[in-house]
Amino acid sequence: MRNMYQPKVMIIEEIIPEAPEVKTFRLRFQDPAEREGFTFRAGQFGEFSLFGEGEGAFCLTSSPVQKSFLEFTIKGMDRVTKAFHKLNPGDLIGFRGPYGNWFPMEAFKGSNLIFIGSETGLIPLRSLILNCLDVREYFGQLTILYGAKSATDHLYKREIEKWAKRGDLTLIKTVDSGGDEPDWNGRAGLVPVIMREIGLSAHNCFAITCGPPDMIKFAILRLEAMGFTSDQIMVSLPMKMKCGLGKCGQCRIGKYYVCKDGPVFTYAQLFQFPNEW
Amino acid sequence: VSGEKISFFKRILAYEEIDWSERHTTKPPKEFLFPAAEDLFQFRIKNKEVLLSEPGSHHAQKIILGIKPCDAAGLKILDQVLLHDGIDLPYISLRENTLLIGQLCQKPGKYCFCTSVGVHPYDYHNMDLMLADLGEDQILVQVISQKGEEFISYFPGFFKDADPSTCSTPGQSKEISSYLKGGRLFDAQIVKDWLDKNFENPIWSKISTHCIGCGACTFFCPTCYCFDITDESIIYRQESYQGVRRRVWNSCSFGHSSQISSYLPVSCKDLKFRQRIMHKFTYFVDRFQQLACVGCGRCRHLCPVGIDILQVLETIQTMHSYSREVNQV
Repeated sequence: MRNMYQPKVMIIEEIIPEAPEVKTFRLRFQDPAEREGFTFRAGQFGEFSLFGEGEGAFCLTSSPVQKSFLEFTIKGMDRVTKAFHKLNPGDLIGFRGPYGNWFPMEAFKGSNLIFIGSETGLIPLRSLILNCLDVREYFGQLTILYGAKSATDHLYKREIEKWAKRGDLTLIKTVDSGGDEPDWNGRAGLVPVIMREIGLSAHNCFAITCGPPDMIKFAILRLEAMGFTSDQIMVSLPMKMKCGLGKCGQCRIGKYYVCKDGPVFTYAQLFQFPNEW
Repeated sequence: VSGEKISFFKRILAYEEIDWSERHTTKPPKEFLFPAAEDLFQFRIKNKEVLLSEPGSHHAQKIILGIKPCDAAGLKILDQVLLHDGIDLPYISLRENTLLIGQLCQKPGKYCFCTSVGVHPYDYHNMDLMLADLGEDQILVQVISQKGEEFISYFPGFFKDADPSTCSTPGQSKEISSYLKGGRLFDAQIVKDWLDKNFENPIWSKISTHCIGCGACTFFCPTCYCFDITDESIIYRQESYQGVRRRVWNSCSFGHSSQISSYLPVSCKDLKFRQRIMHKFTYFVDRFQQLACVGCGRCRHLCPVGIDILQVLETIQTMHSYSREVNQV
């Protein structure tokens, strides 16, 4: 029997600084045979670990179609994530996964999609956005609404510029009031405020959101006001998970385990949660 | 065995060490199957190479002698979590190499309330073998599982088939009869119904005012299983070091369980206390169709500030009947 706590070894190929204290790590399996057998779906997460420092659950952010590498993005917050930030290309880390559920790509087919992210909340959505762009023809309009404290805090800056130039998706960037710098070309205001300003049509549309819990709550209120039903709103809620396997009890919200029942929830499910997230 | 003040399970070297107590120990035997700190694997890093190895000491055969029905039922609850939907290797390797030789509970303690949560002091279901003292130097051994049968077969001639006409299970002790007469002290279904409706209720902060967050209730609980995972390592040179990844018990009464990055949803002690009650009496029931409490009463006994889970459950029951009456008026 396999010890499910034992990770696979991966090599860091590249470290991409995204914003202050936020970095993306590009990895490949040390054993190429592992890569062959490895698949995941957009929205899933993995347990990344640094031997001697600890383990953390982070969303996989590269496209599931991308076979040559795996990416994840983290902000340096605690012991493990800060230790990750000190690494260099070529260093080895542990990985186990993928865990959790995923975004229902099949259900999204033929619909318009709106991605609403704030701060590091764009991280769990990136894999899905890339995946949608891989098969762009399956979807209607794509809209990305992304906000952060200031322009420098925006993640995936170069990539977002590239997305904006594609012409087949709408990109709305915003910074918190006061966070705009002289050369800022986006909007200013909190994400839910911008949502009201631009107005969104709920017709044949799914809204996918992630961010700090307060932003999610207000975004959902706004979406409901615009006619979105609770099945049309999806939330990625990657709480601090530990084992990733539904055993350790760290990520529970009410009777649900985020690592097993999530991290992707519809608002209809979220509505059942007790008020503790 | 018995210590000066508390009784517990430990590896024995002589028969005389055994305390044939007819009541459950102060400390449950959970730690022998789900240790407070347990190596998940070892790692050794040497010149950019990672070597991972399994902890090897798990496979020694063990017997837990004198486990009581409540603690055996507690292991059943750990089984639910750790052996279903993904098998936990460290746990199963300890579990499979452990024989449970149980003993009837003849002297329930003053904190016990197992009958209220569906555990019986004579319940033998979760053991491998069950011992019952018949007096006159005779012990009745009930063979319950395959594992128990195998064990018996290693000692031919040592055991004698019981004659059903002369030896039956011993009669109830006086203590047990009066304990059983007490009946159920609360109805778990009513408690669950109330909990499902009262996530927000002033009672939570009232009950938990004195909680100091020591975690004794969960660490002495035969059913609590929440854990954290941490690394320990010895660095002896920059490029090469070794260490272990460990799981350690965690408790809902500690500060750092359950959080979204820097955002702490369960941070105040009333919320943490609520989580403990909710988990045992409704969340776990929803997930596994059984209660995560075996009524051993250890948490009532050992809480340094006297928080009494039974009192809480009885209060809930009372509040439920009040609210029903009020609704009828």
